[in-house]
Amino acid sequence: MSNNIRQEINKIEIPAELSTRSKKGIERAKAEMPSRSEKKWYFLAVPALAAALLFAIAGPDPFGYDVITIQTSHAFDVSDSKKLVGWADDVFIGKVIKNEGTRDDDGMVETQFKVKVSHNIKGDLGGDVIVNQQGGYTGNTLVLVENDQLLKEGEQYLFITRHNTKGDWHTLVPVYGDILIENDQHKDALIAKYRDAYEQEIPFE
Amino acid sequence: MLKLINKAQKGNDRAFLELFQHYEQEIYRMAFVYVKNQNDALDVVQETAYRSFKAIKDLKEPKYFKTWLIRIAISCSLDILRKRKKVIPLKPEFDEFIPAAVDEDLVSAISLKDLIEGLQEEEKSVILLKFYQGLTLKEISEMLHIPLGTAKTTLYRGLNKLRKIMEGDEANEQ
Repeated sequence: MSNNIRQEINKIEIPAELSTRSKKGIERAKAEMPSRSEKKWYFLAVPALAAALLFAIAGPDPFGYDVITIQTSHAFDVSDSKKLVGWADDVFIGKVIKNEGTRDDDGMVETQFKVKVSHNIKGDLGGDVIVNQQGGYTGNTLVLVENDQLLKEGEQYLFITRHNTKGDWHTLVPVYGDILIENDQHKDALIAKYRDAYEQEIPFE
Repeated sequence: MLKLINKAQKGNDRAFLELFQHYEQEIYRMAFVYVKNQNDALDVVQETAYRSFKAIKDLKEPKYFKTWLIRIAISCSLDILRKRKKVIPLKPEFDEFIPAAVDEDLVSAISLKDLIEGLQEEEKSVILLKFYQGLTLKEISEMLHIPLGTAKTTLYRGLNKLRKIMEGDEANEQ
């Protein structure tokens, strides 16, 4: 008997935007929370800034810019791929299309790139996304975090990122979160490695 | 499911979205019965997602996740109705007829329109929880924080109203 009421209620049509509205509600809640992403980048960025006071000038690069490298510290071992993937929102392969410019709103120069996603390992990104990399050019200085070279247009990378909901971009982890892909064989090996890591991911506590 | 809840409680929005999407259609349809239009029902879904993700870290018993979510959805529906001043305060009626058991013929003949238009919010809550969510009256009373007797009374009052609506429909047809 109760099936009839269920059947009647199930006649209510589901609008196409239903899932979008669910996401919006969750995104709003996340934006109001002291999100792990923000805490994490605070953790990364502040030591980075502190270290910048003790910067190491590596000398001018081939184009005459002074290169400053800064060190960061991490709350966990970022070289452990299971922990790194567990902490990340997205792990994907993508090709850098264009350097979109720099920003330093948070007291740390960052460079943003348009990236075309070609393969998801964790997460479900599609099309073009903005990848945010700590470091970049400011005046006559090139700031590199842990000597992590800036992304190059036209190159393919494996990215390990956290999503910034406010800016809708994906900030990569220096060094371990932007692995330059050398060839198809290398790409396949990376996909296999990080797919395994995802299956055995260790969530960040 | 428990793994996803555990992840969501640690702030993992993707895990929470996956969980929430299991129930979003049910939440939408329940909300629609209260608020009677698509826009408001979508607002209920969004607000339910918002409130539930903010509160999930405090959920003590993950096995009651769905019940907990539905309660939030009902609360959001009623809040939206209150904000829009669409709620007519319930006037308690004398329970002139309280059957010992649910009338199966009646329940099997109820239409969506009768549910949406014919009942007050409290009656919708009990009938939705009983017949759409399949909860027992005891579970309903616990979920809505009302005495078991009140849950029973509300259920039968709602069914009685529906019966009268249907009798009226039949009379009009004749």
